[in-house]
Amino acid sequence: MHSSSPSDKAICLYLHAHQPYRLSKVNYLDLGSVRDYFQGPTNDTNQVILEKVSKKSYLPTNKLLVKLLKKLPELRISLSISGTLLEQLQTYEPKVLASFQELVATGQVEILSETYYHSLAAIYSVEEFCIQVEQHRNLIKKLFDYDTTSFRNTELIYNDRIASLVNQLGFQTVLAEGWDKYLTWRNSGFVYKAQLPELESKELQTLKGYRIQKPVPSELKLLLKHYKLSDDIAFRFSNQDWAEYPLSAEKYLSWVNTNPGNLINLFMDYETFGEHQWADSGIFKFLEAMIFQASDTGIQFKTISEAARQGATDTVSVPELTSWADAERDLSAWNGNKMQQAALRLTYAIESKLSKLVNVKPETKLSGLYNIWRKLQTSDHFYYMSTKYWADGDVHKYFSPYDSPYEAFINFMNVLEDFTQQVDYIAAKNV
Amino acid sequence: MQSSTERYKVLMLGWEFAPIIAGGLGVVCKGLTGALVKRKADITYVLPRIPDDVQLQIDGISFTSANVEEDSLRFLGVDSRLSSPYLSADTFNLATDLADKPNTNPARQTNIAAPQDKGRATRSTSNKKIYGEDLLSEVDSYAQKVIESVTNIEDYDIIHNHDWMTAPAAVRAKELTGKPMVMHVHATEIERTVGHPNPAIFAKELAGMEAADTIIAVSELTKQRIVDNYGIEASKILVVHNAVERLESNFGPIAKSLYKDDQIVLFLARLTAMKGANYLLEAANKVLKHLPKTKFLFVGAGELLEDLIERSVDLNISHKVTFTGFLPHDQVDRAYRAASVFVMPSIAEPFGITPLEAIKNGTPVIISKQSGVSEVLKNVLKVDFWDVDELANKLIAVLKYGVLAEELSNNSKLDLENISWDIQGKKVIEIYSQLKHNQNLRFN
Repeated sequence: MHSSSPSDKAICLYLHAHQPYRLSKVNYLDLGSVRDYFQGPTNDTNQVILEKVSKKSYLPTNKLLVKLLKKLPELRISLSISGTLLEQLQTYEPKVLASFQELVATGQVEILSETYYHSLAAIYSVEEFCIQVEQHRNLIKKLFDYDTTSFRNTELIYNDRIASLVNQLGFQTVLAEGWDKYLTWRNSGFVYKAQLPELESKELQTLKGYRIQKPVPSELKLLLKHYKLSDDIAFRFSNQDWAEYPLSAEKYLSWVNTNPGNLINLFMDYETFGEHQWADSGIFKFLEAMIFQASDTGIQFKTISEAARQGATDTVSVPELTSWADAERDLSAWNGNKMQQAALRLTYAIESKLSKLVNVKPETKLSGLYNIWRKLQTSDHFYYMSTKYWADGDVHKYFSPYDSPYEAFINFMNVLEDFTQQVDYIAAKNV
Repeated sequence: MQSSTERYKVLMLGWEFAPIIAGGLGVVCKGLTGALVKRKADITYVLPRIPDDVQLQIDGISFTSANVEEDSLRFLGVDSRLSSPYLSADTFNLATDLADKPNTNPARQTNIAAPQDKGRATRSTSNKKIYGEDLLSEVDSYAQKVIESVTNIEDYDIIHNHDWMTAPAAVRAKELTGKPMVMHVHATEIERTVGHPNPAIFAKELAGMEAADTIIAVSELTKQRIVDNYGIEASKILVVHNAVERLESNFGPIAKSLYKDDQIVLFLARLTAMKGANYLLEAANKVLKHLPKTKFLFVGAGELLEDLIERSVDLNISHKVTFTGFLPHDQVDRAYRAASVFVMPSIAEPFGITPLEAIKNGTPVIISKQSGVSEVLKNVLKVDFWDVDELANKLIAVLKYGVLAEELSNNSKLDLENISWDIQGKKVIEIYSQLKHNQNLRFN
């Protein structure tokens, strides 16, 4: 049953799935004899967490979405899955991977590119960024037979410079947080063009080697997250202190319908469904009812690329780095304190050590070392070290496998020290 | 009716009051008393002996037993041979010998058990009879003396005693006056003896707990122990964590020339089993293998000194380990500041005030998870006391990574903002109010 006057609104639902390789518990006294950095704090924690999240979130969400996609041919969904999660799914939960493949096979789903290791490489190393984007895009091609054309950076970390990197790689659309600070009077209900500053010629040269298509698109479309409507679902849905609790599909769609602009960009974590908001909160029922009722009342659904096809109304410039995290929407969750800054600096300092090794050793023999280094770049490790709000015991703590940000730092540094010693040892042997 | 200007007349029975001090108790009692007096309490603070040469002060204002009635705080010295409630019955005889020297601070004497004092144990055993055969009978005779010494005892609203040694006196006072009794438990015999309580002390402690209308425990940990080991119902026990006085120390950063560029790891506690110095010594051995320039400073005296020295020789790290014996207060602050990290590896610690003092002095802190203070500190490192490898791991991290030490130093000061005697004093006043007006105890 469709309403007589179709709505001019379109929902652009984008979900992001990610799991890191949590680090093994490494004591400084054991340096030199550590066998596996990525078991998780106790043996097999990564596998156990993956099984838990799969059961609570990925499997029921995918089951629901496949059902809805099949029932509603006009339904569109966009998603991205980090390389570190895809790897772990291949190893531990192939049936979950199959359920993602089933989603994509409907032809109603767009997959977005991102950094394979859910890293901050865009900020610290252009070449590393290119490598990780390519590695992720290749894995998506292999597992889903899909060619990506849109990009989302880790944690929606974005600024004009990153937009230029993404544009030079040949992507057509990029996502960012719809943060008022740089939107000013504009709002996230429209498509925008990214401001594309000039890059250095050396950087351009690097980017050229990883370009996904030729020529470089003349513009990069920018889709901005509607943070209020997104966070109503992702953060506030089960909060009984929230004035709008409980949230019904009707109420939610009334907000959608009165939103200025025609695009409603709902960007959120995949784990919102069943993990951040538990099943008994009614989140799955809400999602189902919201999609059915939206369809009934003529609200459209668009993938990121479909949405981006409409003309851009304006160019938005974001000079400073932004993200979708915390009230600050900046990078302070990852590099806000000195421990994080030191850990990041030392992690990326290994890049030059490895590239020196490439000169004396065939690159294939170094893939193990590169693999470890890249897993260490996963942003989660630095997020766990955040002391922001730590004393308040908020969201940062919920996601951390550590008792405190200090423990996170100590353990990371022990792993990094062990790995650095390993790299130095191999370098010394090959001089 | 309860009015906002109402004040509570409190008979407080304590053992220490800084600077008459054997351990942390004296510091805690001074902090608490100061906060209570500033709020709504008129306190008569009873101590076993107030040496003539000691000035008791709060915020620089002296109080003596001579300034009477009109003051909100009066001290009453009841002559007794008792010194530290931390003493075991077995070591009491030694302590009474040491305390026998006239005109000296008895508490400080008990702390100077460093090697140079060892000879004293053989002196003046003849005086024992004058002061009571043993600790336990002295405690009983002290209770009688308190009742005889306090004038107008029936005028008090509340009887508030600290730990087991004053419990018999508090129970007597309650029996005599029918006034409500608060027993403030800073440490249980179970904890002091690491699970091997003296049955007679345990019995006196238990009698106090049972007689008390309300028990104040210094941590959830201690509350749980009182429930588990003494069978007291949890609803009667309220937790009031200790705090630390906000005053900044007056000492500037100390010159580290003594140790050149070496880094110092500081331990500061009595050298008894409960305090876990041996675990730090084992960890020191492991740390030194990776960071050989580290020095370990053990401040404090106690029965384990010889064992610890011998062990450091066995480990071949005695040149890296210094035992200073007891240090006076001003030097303690200097030690905190000289240290790169402070460690409290206690096996059992009802609260543990020293980490707060270290934090106040800007020193990063590692504490055992088996401490009450762990309940109120977030920006510190925590280890299980037995996990020597993990202690070594964390020590290495703090010594090696300046950024970690800096974050800990800065952020742990934020923890202190939530821990003030003013806030804790308010909680105790609330308890007084409810007891005086016979209300049901409701307290968070």
